[in-house]
Amino acid sequence: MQLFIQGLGQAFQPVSMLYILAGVIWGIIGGAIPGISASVAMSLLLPFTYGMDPFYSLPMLAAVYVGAEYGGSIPAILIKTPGTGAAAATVLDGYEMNRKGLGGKALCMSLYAGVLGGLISVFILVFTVIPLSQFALKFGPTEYFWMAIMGLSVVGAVSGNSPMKGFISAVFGLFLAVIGMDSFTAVKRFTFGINRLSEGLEMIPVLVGMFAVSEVLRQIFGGEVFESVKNKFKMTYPTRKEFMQCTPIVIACGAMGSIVGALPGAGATIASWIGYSETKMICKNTETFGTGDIRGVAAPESANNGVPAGGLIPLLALGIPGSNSTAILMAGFTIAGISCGPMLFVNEPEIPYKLMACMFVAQIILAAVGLLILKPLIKLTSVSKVYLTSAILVFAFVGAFATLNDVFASWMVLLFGFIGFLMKRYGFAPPAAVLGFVLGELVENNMRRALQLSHGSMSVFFSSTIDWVLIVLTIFGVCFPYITKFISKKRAERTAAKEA
Amino acid sequence: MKNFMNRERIIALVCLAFAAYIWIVAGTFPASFLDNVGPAKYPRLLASLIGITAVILFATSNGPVKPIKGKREFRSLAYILLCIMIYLLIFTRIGFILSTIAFLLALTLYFDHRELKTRLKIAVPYAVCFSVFLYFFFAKLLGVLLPSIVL
Repeated sequence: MQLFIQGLGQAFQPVSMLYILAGVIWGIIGGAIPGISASVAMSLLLPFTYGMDPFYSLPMLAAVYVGAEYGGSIPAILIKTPGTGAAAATVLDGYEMNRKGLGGKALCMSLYAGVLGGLISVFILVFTVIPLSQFALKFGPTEYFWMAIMGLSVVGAVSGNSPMKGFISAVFGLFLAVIGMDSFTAVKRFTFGINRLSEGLEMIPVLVGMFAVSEVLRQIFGGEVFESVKNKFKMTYPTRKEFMQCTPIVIACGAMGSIVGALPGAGATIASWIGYSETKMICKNTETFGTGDIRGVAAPESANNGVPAGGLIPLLALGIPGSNSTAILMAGFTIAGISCGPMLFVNEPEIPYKLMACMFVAQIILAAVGLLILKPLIKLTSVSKVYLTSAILVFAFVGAFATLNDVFASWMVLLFGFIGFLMKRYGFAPPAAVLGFVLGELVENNMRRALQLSHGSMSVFFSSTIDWVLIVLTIFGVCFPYITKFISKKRAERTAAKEA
Repeated sequence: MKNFMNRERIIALVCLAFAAYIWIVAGTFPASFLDNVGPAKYPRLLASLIGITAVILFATSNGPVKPIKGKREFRSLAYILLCIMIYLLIFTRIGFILSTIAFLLALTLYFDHRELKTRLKIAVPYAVCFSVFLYFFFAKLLGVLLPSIVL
């Protein structure tokens, strides 16, 4: 703790704060642009860290990571285009709030949840870096498998009116994740003879197509784009009651985000979906989720902003980068001539604690920057629909192009935009398909890995305490909406009978 | 017959056909002696899930089906899809800036219903400025290799 306080003293120095500010701003820009994820934004900055003092370069890289996790939510809320995969869950309620004229409120809650979730995760990092890294090592294939299934339990919440079509949509998403070369046998599966599909479908083109382009096509088909009346600029903020209501959710999801971040291979996308599904499971009156419920913005945003600090746990304590972004951060350590791992805490303990302190400061700077850009961002949505729609389309296609530097990715956006449009038109749920797609690789790889290790025995899936905890949470998550619906229906019937 | 084969049942049949397709194609994947699960079982599991759900959907959709509400702008939808396809085709040939200007003009001039003079006054500067800004932002600042300018 003493080292952390010393680190805070150094982090609050003007030069250090300037580097963190630059990192946060760059991160927000990178996160807000589809195709330029946290890892890409960090890698673009990496060459500039050669020769820099590690006390400045490493906090700057970490600040990019912090900024990018927030930045992804901005286009997700305003134009239904998640800047990063982690912001996909924010689209569900954030965009609906924006459609109701509550975009400012949604952005403000996203910022509040992101900053508070991030701060919580920094505290968790400081106090539990060693024990949590040991806990993360207990996660094997079956635990990862059940964790992904738990994330899928949110399907009911994003299925709309038809649970069966929602289920088919989620399985369709799982199927999309199968496309490409099988990582176990190198067999090409469902590539339709297209070589570019060998590496599988890129996440950003699928997300942007399913969410943004399908929405544009829906608006054009429904004639909404012809409405010449401009939206009036109106800034809204969350009420005190809403802040009070969301704070416990934010704290819980921030903590959960840290734990998920500490698990190698899990990451912010999975954390945000788990945050969304668990909040829906635990909270009361959840029937408004998916229609613009502010809790549906707070939960995923807090969870995904908890991941950067959580991701530092295996990196600093074990020298294992759990995601692309932490791998780039590790490269930053290497460039600075520092080795990550247990010996870091023995030989140079001031470096990891200074980094943690800088992440704490980065959250405070993020809050200030986020508040400054809030109003200009909301003004953007008051632009005429025709111009906004055309800009979204160009933004979507160029963003996807940036992921592969190939126009093929833009064609994928169009394809998935049209598929998403048809799915919406016929009562299916594109968000459920996105959820399946995001979690698909984790489900299949870990299921097969577990079956390989057990020589085909299914009992391996029920062999540890963590497995059972995750199974119970999944069953609870699936059944809870139906149980609450049944109870409230019975209550209403009883009240009606009494009144009669 | 028309009532029996309602929209929901047709959707269920399409899903069933899709599941059958996955099942059949998965059967063509070669098995490996290194992997006792194989590349086909998981897709077949997914196909089974889709197939079973589709059968339930077919069996339970026996009542009248609500028509899909709302306006239908088939012409606008066809126009936008055509514009996007042309944009993606010319994107790499004539460069990012020119193709994006053309694409933005094609959309804004078609969907904005004001007088042509007013439309042009707004649409042309918007298309040019937005395209140039995006080019420099992505290509120069972020290092994305956008197709270069052809003038």
